[in-house]
Amino acid sequence: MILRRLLTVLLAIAAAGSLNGCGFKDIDKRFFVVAMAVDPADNPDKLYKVTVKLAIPSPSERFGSNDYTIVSEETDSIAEAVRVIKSEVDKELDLGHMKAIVIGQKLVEQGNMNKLMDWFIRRRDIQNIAWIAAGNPSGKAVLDLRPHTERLPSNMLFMSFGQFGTETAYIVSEYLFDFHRRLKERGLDPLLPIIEVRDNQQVSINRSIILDKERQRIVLQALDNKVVNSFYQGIGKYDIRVDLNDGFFIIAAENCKGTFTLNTRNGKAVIHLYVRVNGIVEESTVPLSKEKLSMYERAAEQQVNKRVLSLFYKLQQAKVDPIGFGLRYRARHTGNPDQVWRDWLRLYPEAEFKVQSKVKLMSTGQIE
Amino acid sequence: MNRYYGYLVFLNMVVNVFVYVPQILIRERFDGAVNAILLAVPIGMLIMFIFIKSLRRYPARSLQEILDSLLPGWLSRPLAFLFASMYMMAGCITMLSIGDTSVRYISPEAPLLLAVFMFLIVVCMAAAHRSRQILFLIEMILILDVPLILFIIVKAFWNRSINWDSVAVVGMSYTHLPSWTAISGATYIFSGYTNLVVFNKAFPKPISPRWIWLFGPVGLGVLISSFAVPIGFQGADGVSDYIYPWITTSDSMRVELGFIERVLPLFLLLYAGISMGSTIVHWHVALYLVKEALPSSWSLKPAATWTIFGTFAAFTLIFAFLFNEQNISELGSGWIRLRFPCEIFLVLLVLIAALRRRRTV
Amino acid sequence: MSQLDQDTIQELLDSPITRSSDFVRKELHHNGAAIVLLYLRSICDDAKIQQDIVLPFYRADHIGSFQDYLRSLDSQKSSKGSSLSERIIKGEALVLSGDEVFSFAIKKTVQETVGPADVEISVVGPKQAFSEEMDININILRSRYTEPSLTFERGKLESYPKTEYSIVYDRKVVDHAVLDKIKKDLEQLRRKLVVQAAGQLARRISNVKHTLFPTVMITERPDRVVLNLSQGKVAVFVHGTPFAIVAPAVFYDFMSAMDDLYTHYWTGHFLLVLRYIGLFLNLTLASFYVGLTSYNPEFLRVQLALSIAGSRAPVPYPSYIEVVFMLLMMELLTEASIRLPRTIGSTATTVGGLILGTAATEAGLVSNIMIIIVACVAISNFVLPINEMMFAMRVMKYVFLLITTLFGVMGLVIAFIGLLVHFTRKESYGRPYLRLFKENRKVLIR
Repeated sequence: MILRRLLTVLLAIAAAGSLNGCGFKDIDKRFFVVAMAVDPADNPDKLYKVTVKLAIPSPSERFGSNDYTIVSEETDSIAEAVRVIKSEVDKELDLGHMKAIVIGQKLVEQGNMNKLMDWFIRRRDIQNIAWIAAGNPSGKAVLDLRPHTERLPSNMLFMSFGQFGTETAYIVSEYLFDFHRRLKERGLDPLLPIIEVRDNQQVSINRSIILDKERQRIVLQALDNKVVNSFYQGIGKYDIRVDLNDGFFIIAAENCKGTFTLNTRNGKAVIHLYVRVNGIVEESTVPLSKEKLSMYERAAEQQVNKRVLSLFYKLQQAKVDPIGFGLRYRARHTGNPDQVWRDWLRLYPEAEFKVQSKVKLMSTGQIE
Repeated sequence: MNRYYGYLVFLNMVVNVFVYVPQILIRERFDGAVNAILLAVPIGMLIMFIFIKSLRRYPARSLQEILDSLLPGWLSRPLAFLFASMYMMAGCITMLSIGDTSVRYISPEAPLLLAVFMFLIVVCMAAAHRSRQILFLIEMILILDVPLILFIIVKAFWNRSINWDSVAVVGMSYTHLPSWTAISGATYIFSGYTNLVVFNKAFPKPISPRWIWLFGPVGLGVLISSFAVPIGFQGADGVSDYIYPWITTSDSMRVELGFIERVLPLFLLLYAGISMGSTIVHWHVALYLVKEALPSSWSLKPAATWTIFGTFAAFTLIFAFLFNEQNISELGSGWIRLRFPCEIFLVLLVLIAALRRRRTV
Repeated sequence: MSQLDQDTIQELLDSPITRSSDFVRKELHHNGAAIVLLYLRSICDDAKIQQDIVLPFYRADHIGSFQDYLRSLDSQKSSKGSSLSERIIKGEALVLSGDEVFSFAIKKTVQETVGPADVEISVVGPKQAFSEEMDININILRSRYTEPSLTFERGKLESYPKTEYSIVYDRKVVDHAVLDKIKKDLEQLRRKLVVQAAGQLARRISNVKHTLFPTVMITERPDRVVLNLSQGKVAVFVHGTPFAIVAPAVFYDFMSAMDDLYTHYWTGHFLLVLRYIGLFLNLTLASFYVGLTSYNPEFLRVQLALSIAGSRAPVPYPSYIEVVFMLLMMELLTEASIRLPRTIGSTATTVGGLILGTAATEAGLVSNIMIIIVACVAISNFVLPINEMMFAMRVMKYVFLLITTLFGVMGLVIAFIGLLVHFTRKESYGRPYLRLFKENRKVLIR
């Protein structure tokens, strides 16, 4: 009885095994794509230039190396490009470790982002937690960087976006799934960090693009970027320069959190923005006194208010909404979702912003 | 033994993610899914309570014995077959769903038929065992899996990427009346108690209804998380783009400091265990319903079990062979729609039997 | 003492024992009286016979007083029912005096010392193991388990040659269903076979013939037996082996060391958790390696994936051959070091483990990471406290490996659930083999 059962199981395994046998592919027979870039094609007949960055594992280097190879292909669709690239390398292309997607800024300006993102969302093997960014001057240029500090191809990007290496409020990091969500969600617009190539194999990632549902609408500079980030990710490590009569001092914020409330009064939307900053003074050109801390706080608040207001009116003029005011409006109004959305589209251009910031200085640093 | 009853219900709650409950609710998210969830809790709890109360009059009896006391044989046996086929389909859909996802996300080169076949071997081996042993088994599976699943869900709720405004947008549709499908889907959560039609025999003492109110809040929590978390992650408008919203959501989480960075494999592997547990329970119930409905000269033969499982497995494999993902999902939704009336019918039958028994005894 | 008749004498003289060269037949005469002394020199104590029987015979005034003296002796046994030859084989000396037979247990025990426990080692627990002599084992148990309800039942297996066993249980707490089943199982054993070890007997009496996982516990530790007796379990001793069979035994019993009870609460639990982690690693690590490197490298962290890919680059074989090759090497090493004399054993492991491992990686036969995994698998196996479970899991991991090689990581999960299914279905004398909460944790008076 037992033997017979054992035999059945073995037979079943053998039968199944003979059906199978094609999924088995060793890790050293695969090429890992660590990053991919999509740019507009140089050839006017084609749509995209797809570039993949393939990591080359090296047996001799004991602690890893950042050896890589770059393959580009110009086609009308990403899927085709990947197929063609597959035929050009000797191992199976594995997209499972693709953790960075860089879209050339020119392509973002051209628009049609929904069509572009389709392939990334549809493929089952692409991580939803891949980071997505725009590349300047091109995605390929960003991929083809070889910083000396890297022990892994493209590790610099992973570290910057993952915020385990460097933690800074200048970097907005965006996941693939979040980007897709923002492309679809009415009342929450997508944003992309811009990776700019600098000399000496360096990059700078402190600006970002705000898109409407299709294309680039506005590019935020570093200072604005920080404000958006305080609402978007709530990352601290934020610095505020406060000008005094005879000089200035810099507040290093431990945490900086932006929240907002939305009211509609007399057919007009009023958006209250609250920014709360806790920090210490990190640098000053003038001597500071402990007694006057509250005065400094007021000065800093003025500064923050000005900056926040200017940013949000800028966004309003560009008709984009990366913070999700529209979504909040939808979340507070019942009724036909389409009707609610149309109401908001009417309200947003005339919405009024009011800022209340609260800066709390914990100390003046180690000296007064 | 009462805690084993809890496992039966809880297993059904946890497995909802893989039997298209979130899909159904999300499809109707602007059309009354919210109310369906709120309504499902009292409805589900009420029929569970009625069922448990009625069953107390039939300690350690199975459905066939209860039906026989109420109806003539020519009616009660086909009824048992009807219920058995519902249970069979329940297991079948869970298998197809987990098979399809494992093919799609874990081994893309393998054919669906093979993936389902792998699961079927173990499921059939286990479902043939005695009820008590199956209760022990699902206890082990739940104890091993649920803490990690809870970890994932807690992680999801605390995740920075979850946008509560999106959830609130969906919540704003509370003015809509729920559809039949949505209620049917939402009450699936509570329907684990129906497994008692066979498992009742394994409980020496009747289930006391004292603690079952606990399933109300737990069920509500499960429903809300399986509905709200995908919406919070994928957006109120974008969430319907995905065929398996929960799997996409699990892939949208990142464990920065964990042993593995991605949640997706952990989630799928854990749910493979849960799904198998659920299918084992359902098929065990189906097996015994069929066996008791058959004349004992047939059902006592050792080949009977394997013939019945052979039929079950054949059905599943045929579905796996013929259907694509879309069909499987439609089959799942269709089954869920049909399930609810069947469940009410079953509870009514048991209730009538219990009432009559009180009069006669 | 029994009446002597011609038949019993005849039976004795016909028995093949008389033709053995260690058979002694002495006729002693004194004062006109005569006795015949019969015994086996090889297992009886010559000096004691001289002291207790021969000398008193010559000192006695007449035969009557000598017979009275014989009757007073403690060691006199009236093992009625068994034939004279059987008594002699058991190590008794027979005295034929007139028409009476006296028999005395004057057995010379070869091994009276009790050795330290070296199979199941405990850090702070009792140090002694059982002895190979059954009487000594009974002695040990009696002195440790000071309850009047402790019961021994001796018997003989129907094996060839017949082996003595004794069943031990606490009459007050024992599960009688289990006891009856064990007795029946022992009586049913009718085979031409030599029973020399507890494990052998355990295998013969279990009703599932081809099983991987043990359902009875074989232990050399008196403290474990005492604990189990107090939990209502039944122990069986086989003559000539220092191990006891304890039944029923379920999965948790095989995962617990006696030290868990002797150390502090948290340390004990920590060790227990450690053991389960070890079990899990031992079963799945090799399979995970194959499943993750050959089917789903995307689940690893990218750094790890690249470093495995790098270290596998010179390896010409697919991952499962690499794994099987290394595991096989490890199994050979383990086996070799068990059977070798202790002094050479350590050399073998050093040579094998260190040199082979390094050389294999340098030759590009296996990857660095593989060596780490194999070492981890081997070590985690040794964490399991009971040998039989250790061996079972050693075999089980190959089953997992096979299924994972064929079906990938999902196969591994299915195999794991399959193992759970097998465990929950299995029973040991009516107890479920695996359930979350073990029955009878405490002493239970029935």
